[in-house]
Amino acid sequence: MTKAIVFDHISKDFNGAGRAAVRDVNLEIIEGHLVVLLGPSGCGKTTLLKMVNRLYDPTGGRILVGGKDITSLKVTELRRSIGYVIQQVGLFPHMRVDKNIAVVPEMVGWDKARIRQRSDELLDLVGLPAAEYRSRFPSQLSGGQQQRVGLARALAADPLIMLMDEPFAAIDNITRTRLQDELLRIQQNVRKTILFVTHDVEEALKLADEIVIMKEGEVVQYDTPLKILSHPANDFVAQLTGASDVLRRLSLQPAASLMLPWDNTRSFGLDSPTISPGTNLRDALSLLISHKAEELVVIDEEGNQVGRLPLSAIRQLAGQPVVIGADKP
Amino acid sequence: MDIFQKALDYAQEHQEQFWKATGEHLTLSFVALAIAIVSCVPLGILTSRFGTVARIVINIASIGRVVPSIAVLLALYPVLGLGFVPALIALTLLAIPPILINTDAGLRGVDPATLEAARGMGMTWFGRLWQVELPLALPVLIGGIRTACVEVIASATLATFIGGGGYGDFILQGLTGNSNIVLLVGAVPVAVLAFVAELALGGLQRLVSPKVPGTTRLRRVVARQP
Amino acid sequence: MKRKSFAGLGLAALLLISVLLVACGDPTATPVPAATTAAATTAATTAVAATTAAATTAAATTAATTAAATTAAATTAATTTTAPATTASAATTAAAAKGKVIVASKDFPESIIIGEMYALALENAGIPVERKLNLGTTAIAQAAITKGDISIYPEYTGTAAGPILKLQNPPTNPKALLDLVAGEYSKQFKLTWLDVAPYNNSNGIAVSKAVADKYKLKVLSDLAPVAKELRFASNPEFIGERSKIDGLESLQKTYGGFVFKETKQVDIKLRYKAVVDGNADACVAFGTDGEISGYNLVWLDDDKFNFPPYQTAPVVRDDILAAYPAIKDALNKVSAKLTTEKITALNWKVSGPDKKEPADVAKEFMKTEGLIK
Repeated sequence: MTKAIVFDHISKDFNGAGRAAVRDVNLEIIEGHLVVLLGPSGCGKTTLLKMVNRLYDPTGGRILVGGKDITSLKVTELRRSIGYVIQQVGLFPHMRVDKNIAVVPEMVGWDKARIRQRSDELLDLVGLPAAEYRSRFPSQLSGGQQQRVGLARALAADPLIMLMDEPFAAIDNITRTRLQDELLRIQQNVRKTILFVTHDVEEALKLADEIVIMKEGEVVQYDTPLKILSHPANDFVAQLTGASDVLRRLSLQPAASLMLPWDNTRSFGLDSPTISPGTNLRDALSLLISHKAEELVVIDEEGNQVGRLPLSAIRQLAGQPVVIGADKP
Repeated sequence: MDIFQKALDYAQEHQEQFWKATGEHLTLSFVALAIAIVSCVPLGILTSRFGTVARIVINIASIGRVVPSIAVLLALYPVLGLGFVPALIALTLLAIPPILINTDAGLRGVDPATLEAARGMGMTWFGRLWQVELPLALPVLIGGIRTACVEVIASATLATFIGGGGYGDFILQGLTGNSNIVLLVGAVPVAVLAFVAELALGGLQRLVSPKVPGTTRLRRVVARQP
Repeated sequence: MKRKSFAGLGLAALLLISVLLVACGDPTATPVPAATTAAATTAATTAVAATTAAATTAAATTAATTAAATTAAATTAATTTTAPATTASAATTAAAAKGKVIVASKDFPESIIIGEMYALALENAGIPVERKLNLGTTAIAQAAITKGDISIYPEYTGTAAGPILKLQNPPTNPKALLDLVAGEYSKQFKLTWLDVAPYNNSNGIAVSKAVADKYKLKVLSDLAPVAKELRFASNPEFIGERSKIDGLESLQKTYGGFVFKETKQVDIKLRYKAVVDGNADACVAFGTDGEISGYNLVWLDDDKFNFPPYQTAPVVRDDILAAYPAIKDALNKVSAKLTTEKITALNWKVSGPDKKEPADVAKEFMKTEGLIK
């Protein structure tokens, strides 16, 4: 697996006084993964993010992007090769939507036809039909729509890396959920390396391939959401993520991970509810309860039965205690 | 209303003097304004970036605002003598504060989030200024030019005190000679000029202001901003 | 932002509206029947007085104003509407109460010096005096005296014929001019001209010594043909509305020539400086200006008697004179002593390098001449 971004003993001490904002961070971000930086405010997550596109320069250590030390690149070139989305969106209010999206492609010298095609394509991708939205101004869009444009703008020049700094924090709950779903859908298509800062645990658990948990400038744990919930590194992580919450844990685990192989000889269960292998265990459990069933049938996309999921298996998993301070696998 | 006819007659009788005054008044006003714009917009860009220095410069400019232009004229007389140039300098000094202050305020007023996005996207210093900051500061900046323009056109009437010419020649002739007819020959064109400048720059200001949904015509013009 | 643009529009609108008001308020716009002339002219002069006040104050004392025109025109409009009423009431008040005699002057050294002399002479005669010297321009003084705000001030016959009465063909004979002016003043304003002083402070032209030598200039006839090679600094009046009667155009008519290479209109106080500093070769000069000899300039005689005479006399309200008949004798004694040489010397003590106070100069003169102790 290729390392897209490497943080090598990164520290950042603003003003050189007092506590450093980021202390000796070592991380390797795998290409194509969505990695969430999670922690309370002031933990250094945003500082860490902004050092990747050199809005801040570290006071110690180095950052490699695509294997190259970022200080060896021209700073504007570096930034143009990295998508950047911020909480306040920051669209240019005097430019139409398509012009906003065209900014980076224009800077890197794309021709007009290509830019136009790209901007239409991106608008469609983020769910804003180009014909209707391309000539609007930011002030004519809702907050959620603006952030969709912000996302399209960051994706415009097809960067390999995206930095997203609490992009959905200022958006209402319903829209946020929808945007998170869209981001996951888009990520399925584009497979960017995404660094995503949030202080919202639910959001982190929902979006992340891996989560970096930070506290007071240091990385406390870097793991998959499930591992973080099931094996939190310490009390801080357990408390932050609410690791003891059984339902939360179940919601992170797909049915496929717990299902038993399908036994063709068995004839029962034909009237049982069916689920796909990707359905999470929390949804599976509620299905079982609502149907008063003992077992679910797991079927693939073609409708073939591939396994079964008995209530007992879920019960057993839920009953496992959370192990704090467990070694990383 | 008969007096307007008389003023018109007087202007026609003194056509040569009138057109000379017109030329002088327009030249004084627009050259002063042009110098102020060319010098103060860059200066405003600088002050908007440097905190303490900026405050000092802006405060000095604000002091300039309360010094009456007639005082500047008379103070400059021993140094620069009579005529067009000292009048031009006084008027330029008058035009500087509103343009400088508004350029500074306009640029400082740009949403920091917009600027952070621009930086994060890899825009150069100049690119941010030219493509983002100046277009967004433009309505405020033009507001400053508008204030300066009306002030300069009105104050150019004072140039006559030091031989700078302009419509003030007629106004002062009217005042000292106790003749409202002659006064009007100078005052009417000044009023009209000031009014036209005010309306034109006000229109321009609206044209470049952030648009409200539904104002399609304006939107297209603004979208062509570099 | 919004407020600022509103203010801008307001300024422009004010300019326009005030111009309209000036237009409506001007009495010369329509011929006025004889009976109402006095009141109407009073209104007019009051209006213009205010106007002039605004502009002159700005010029002299650096009052803050971005648009002299705006202030001036607006003030004109405001004053015009109220003037007639005030005139009536103020006049009655002044006549009724036999109070102090208010001695005033205009705002240049000669007028202030003579005003102070009048005040000293009246005090010497035992008449109670209040001073309002350095009042302002002609228009202000005229408005003030017709309203009754002042009782006496020194005026010039030429000025009365010009900006005040606007005579189109003033006689050039001093006595004829005085009689005409005095008659009109009595009829129109109920004001009396006492005896004039012997000196004449008429318009004229002065040139630098170098220019006078180069072109061999002694009188205005010499200057007429060579004017085209010279730069001329003029006060506004000289090339304004009365240019044809008492200014540059009248010179052109009387002498021919007199087309200067360049004519610069400057503030009246800067005429001589312009020549001294080399910004002009010739300038408008008044007969008793101390600057002419003080700056070593050359006065060119009006050999064809083009300019109307400017003789000084006390102008007194009729009602005041009736209340204090002793005024006449007291002031006539002063006027008799004022010759061209003397008044020129007095002027230079104030406006020249000595920079003496006009009041001190006046007192010294009155003592020397034995008019007071």
